[in-house]
Amino acid sequence: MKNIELKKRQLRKNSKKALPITALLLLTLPVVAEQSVFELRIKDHLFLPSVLYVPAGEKVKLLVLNQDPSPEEFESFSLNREKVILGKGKATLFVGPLQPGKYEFFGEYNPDSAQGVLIALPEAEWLQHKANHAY
Amino acid sequence: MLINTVLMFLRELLPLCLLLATLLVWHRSVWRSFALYFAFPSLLMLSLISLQMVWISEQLDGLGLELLYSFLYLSCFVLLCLSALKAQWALLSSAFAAACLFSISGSNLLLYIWLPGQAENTPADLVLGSALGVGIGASIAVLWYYLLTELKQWRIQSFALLLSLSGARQVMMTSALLIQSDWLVAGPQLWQTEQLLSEQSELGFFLQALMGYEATPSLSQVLLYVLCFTVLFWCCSLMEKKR
Repeated sequence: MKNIELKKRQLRKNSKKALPITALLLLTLPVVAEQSVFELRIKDHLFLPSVLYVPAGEKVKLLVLNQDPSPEEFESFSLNREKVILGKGKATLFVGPLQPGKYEFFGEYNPDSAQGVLIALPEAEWLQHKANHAY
Repeated sequence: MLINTVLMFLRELLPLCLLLATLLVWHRSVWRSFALYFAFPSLLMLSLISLQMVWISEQLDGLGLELLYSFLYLSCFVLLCLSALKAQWALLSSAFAAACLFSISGSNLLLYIWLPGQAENTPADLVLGSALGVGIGASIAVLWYYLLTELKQWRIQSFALLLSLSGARQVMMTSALLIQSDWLVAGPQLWQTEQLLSEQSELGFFLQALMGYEATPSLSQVLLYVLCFTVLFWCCSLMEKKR
């Protein structure tokens, strides 16, 4: 009887210790929620569209299609992202959840021409933007 | 084009130069063996990655290259820990750690050098820019080498600290790549020091290469950084105690 009590106490102690470890592990698990996908093209060393609107406060998936034969590197200091996209290739990268605001990005191999800005809109403005651009 | 080439070379080579200088201070007496152990796997991995880059980048829904790079960065950190823990493997594993970093920087630079049309359009800028980039990187590495040599003689813990920072930097790079690939949850952004010290400034650039300075780090990045820094510093302290 005593043994069972002792084991239970030990288990309780261990579970308290395990809590922060579990929290850390959960933090590293990949997110399975559905994400919005936004397409960005690179053509003639230009980003198209050069201004990309995304919703603030949620993670979004950027699909970058390089239509040039040469590779390009998507770089953004404010978004903290960099990714090489090979010639005629495509790449996926995830950004956010972002605070509302402007986030500049550029092509590292052609920084003079390949420039763009990602604008994260608050929910109300994003819904308005979506309504205005619904085809 | 010239400035862009210099910046590209510096960005890729400076972290490698700093790590190599740090490791050369450590393996000063056996630097020839270190160079040999470093050169062979470096060239092998660089050739494999460069030759298969298209195939690699298409794997895992276009995330192949990021995941390979994050694996190499993480291997670099693990090998540094191993070299601090096991004295008999120190030389080999630290040379392999540097080789992991070389294969990433080298493959990025080869891609840049062989951009279609790059060499034909502005060959002089490319050659001069590369020479300047390599020269600046090497000069900083030499200065770093002598500074570390002095620091090591003055206080051995300072060397362990800088090596641990360098190792934790590789984990910072891993976490950034995993977050952008959605393989690691970023968590909330902890602070914003962009106004105070921009990553694009000279000091920000240097600190990024040395210890993975990040102006807008997320929770998981900071947690991993602190954890890995502590582990490597502990390994280095054990190494000193064994001596």
